[in-house]
Amino acid sequence: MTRLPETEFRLLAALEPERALTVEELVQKTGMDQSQVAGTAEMLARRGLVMVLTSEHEEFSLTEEGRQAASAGLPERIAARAIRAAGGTVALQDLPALLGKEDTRTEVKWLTRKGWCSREAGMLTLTAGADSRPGPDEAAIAVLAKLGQATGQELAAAGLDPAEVAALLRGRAELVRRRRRTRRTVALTDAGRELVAAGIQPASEVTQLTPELLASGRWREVILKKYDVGLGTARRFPGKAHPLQRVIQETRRAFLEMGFEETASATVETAFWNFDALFQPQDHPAREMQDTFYLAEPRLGRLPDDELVSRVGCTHEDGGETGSTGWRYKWDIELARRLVLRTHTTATTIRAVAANPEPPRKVFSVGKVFRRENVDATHLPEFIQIDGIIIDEGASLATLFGTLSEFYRRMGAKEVRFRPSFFPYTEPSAEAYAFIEGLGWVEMCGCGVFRPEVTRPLGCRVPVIAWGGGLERVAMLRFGLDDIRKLYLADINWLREARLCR
Amino acid sequence: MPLVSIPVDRLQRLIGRRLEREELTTALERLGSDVEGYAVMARYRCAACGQLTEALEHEDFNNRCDYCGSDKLSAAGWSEVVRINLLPVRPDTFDAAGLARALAGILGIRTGLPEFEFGASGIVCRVAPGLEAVRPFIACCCARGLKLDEELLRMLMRLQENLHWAPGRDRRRASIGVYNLDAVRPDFSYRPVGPEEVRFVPLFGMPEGMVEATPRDVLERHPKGASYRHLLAGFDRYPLLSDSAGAVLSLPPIINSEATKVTAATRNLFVDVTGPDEGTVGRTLAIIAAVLADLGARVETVAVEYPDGRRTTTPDMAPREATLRPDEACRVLGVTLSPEELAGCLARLRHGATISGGVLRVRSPAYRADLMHDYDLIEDAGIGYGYERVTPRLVPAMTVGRPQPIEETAEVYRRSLTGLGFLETMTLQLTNAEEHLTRLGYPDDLPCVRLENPVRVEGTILRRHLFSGLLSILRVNTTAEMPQHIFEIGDVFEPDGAVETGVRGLRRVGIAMAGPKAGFAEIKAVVEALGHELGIEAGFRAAALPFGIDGRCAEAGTWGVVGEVHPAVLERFGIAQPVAVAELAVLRGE
Repeated sequence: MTRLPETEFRLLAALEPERALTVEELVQKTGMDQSQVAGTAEMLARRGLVMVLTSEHEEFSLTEEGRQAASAGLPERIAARAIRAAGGTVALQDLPALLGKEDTRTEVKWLTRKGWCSREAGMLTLTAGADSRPGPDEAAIAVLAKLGQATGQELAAAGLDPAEVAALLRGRAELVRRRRRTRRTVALTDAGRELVAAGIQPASEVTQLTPELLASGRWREVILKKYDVGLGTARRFPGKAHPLQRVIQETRRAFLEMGFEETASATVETAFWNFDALFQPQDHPAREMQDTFYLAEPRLGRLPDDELVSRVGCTHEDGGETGSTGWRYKWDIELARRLVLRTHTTATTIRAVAANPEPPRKVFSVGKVFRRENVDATHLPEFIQIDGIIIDEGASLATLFGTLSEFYRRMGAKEVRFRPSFFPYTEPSAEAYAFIEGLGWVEMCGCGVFRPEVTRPLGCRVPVIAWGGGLERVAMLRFGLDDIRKLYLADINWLREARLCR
Repeated sequence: MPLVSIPVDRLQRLIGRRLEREELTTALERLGSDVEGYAVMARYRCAACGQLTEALEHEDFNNRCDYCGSDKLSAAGWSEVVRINLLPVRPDTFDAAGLARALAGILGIRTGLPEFEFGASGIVCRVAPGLEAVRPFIACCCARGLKLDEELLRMLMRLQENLHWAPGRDRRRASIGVYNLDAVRPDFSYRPVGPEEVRFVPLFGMPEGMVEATPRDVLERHPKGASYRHLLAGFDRYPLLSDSAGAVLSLPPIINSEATKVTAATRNLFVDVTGPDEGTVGRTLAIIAAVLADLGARVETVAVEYPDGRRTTTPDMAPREATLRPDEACRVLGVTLSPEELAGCLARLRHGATISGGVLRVRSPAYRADLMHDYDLIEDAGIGYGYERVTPRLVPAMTVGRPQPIEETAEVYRRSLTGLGFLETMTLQLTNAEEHLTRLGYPDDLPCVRLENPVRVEGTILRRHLFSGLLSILRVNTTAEMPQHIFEIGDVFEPDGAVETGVRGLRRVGIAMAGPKAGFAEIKAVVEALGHELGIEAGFRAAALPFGIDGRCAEAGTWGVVGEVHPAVLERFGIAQPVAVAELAVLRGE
């Protein structure tokens, strides 16, 4: 005994083992509408329980006029009867009055064509035996009136030759319509016959499985409706970290995996840590109001202990104890107190060197930095920068290149290369370029070995390698953005779309 | 970095051989130059002031003289140029001659220390007392027999401008004058003058209605005076360079006199550099003298006599001498090179290096302005060796990765909120009082971190809270599908005298929910969910928020605040959806 959805049950039960049934017959037998029958038959056919056969055939049916002729007789038959009643002869011009209609051309045409009347000198005269038995056309109309519509086969079964009917009715399209029709019939397959023979039972079909169905156990009696799994669905968007934040987290992970400790410092920084401790002379263009944001409120910060400050100042003036010539100018402690929005996170890593200059140390920082830039598609006055340093006996240009190659490979670069460059606080200095699939060589960061003028005043006696670079550009490349502003005044649709996977 | 255009043909002639573009580009990059590309540079002469203006072909050119703004320009030739970013640390490579000298080294065509032998001109420049505070030092030279043409003249002027910019720090540390030696009568006098003491005709045209100008007229009415008078501010006597007949050569660091103007027909030059630091002044003159010598001029020295009787001969081309320990150089570069190999690397950067007693004795050109420490020589050795030949490797020291605790805590907030379906946003930390305070109902005089030199009106203060950023995101997304649930994790700033840098930065998380169902209960549920994840017991107490609906705002102890945004505020932001917000400190429970 098999449980089937109601519709499938009804259809299978209606089918006969040895005969194909038309859809029309099945509509009658099942009480379902035509599309339900067709859909169900289709589904059963896919499971191999029935066959759906399609055949093309010609179908005849009566028009409105045809149906009238079937009950009242053909126009020429009516006219012949009237002429007979009027004495067998009538003048052509009197025929309208006799038949009670103005246009009698159809009657005249068929009376003469069938040879029921002779036409002479404007007179119609019935011939002998003219209106005795119904002709084959009248027989066909009568059959069609009885059947409603009929195929050639059905006409033949009623004793008519379909070809003859077609020929007879040629030129009388006002009475009979001929159409080509497709007919579908449904028959049980062997599998279907077996299933039906073994017994089938109807069960109700449900769309949503409900707690009630589960609790009552009634799920056993129902059929869970099969879905069209290809249909579209409503879009969903997960909550997501910001694309730039994802790049930040990726970067942090790369650093942490490589044994770096994370450090942080204030966004607002004294010029001392942002510039002076990095041996940037006080008249360096980068320190000017043109490039760096200075604070109006508050204006000044506190400096570290006097000894450190004086060592840094002396290094600027004449090199102090670093073996350098220094910048040869009068260093002004007041300028060092000025507060700025930090222009690089090197201010953060250099604080870490000062706090503990003992090797070996690997330190990194990720943070917001500010440059006095006008806003356009590639510039913002604030952006995220990463900075890394290694304080180590073995720190060198070679280990700097090795560390950065490893770091940027973790960030997805295929290859990393280096070119000489110049920065105020590193010597030697370089720029790192990464080869990124689909983009080519992209500049990633500036790097170098800290000058002794930077490290010695902080009490550091071993080489320190350092690098720093912005992250927005990495994020823009990753997410195909052409305008940096999109990162900070984001279109929610873009945030929803920006995929988690690279 | 400013771009400089170097004529390729002249560069090749100075190097002494032809270079394919690729070879030239590679060599420039090995020196640390950024090559922007190659172009054709057209020159135009101004009929009004006689100066040359350059413009790249295929580039917008307004057909105006760079100097006087006149549009009476006529074509004066063109050159194929290579466009490179200036290396501020190497002012000796700012022009074709200096760059050719460096390229010849890196290409191995001419290596080692370039020698300059200058004869004495017999000319004296006497410095009068009274310039000690304003601009005490001067260095000069003569250059005879120079074959100038329009391209070369323009190149020298461009070199002068770029030297003013980089080592000169916009003429503060060094200011250069170049004169037609045949138009003046040596010896020279560098002396202080009062604002009305002398009269002369300055370059680039007189102020309107004048025949001759006094120093005061130049400072007050001449365009160059307007640009550079701040360098003389506070002084009542100005530096003046004049000849034995009392004719004015220049008013350093502002302007030369018209009478001493150099043209393509000039054959003999007089050059001076003035400034407050003798080293910078001397090195700047050395750069120019080396260029003039490489261009074929016969450079001659000038004796400078200071008021204290000290006498120097300029330019001083004596090499800077230093010693370098090969082991130190190898350690910093991370390569293994013999002293001889290191000497070879240095020679490619035009140092003369000999080995003596296991150390390198390095003699470096006087025009190198950037050599302050052994490390500068180590870098040159590295560049001479080639960065591409350095084998990358990792430091052997084992260290342990350690994150900042605040970042780990922030990550818990981020994960919880994204788990709740929230989208993270990031907004700018610079904002303005109108958007950040007024529009949200905060008092205008709320203490904020204020910039002295903002670059635009939208960014004049550092944010104190995250609400305006969140609302600005909602404002630009009014057409996106609702509800919109967003958050931002970031720093806010408050002035605080107790902090070393005068400002306290606080890590906060801001949350906003917009949509037909957004309200107090909804956002409170989110905050409570966070409290659960972070182990924070959030006791809510009614509180007032300046932008909140009365009776629908609360504070969660010291952790933060939650509330529904007042319709009047939403209207000001142009947001037509109910919005509920929260701001919490990024903390975790005990």
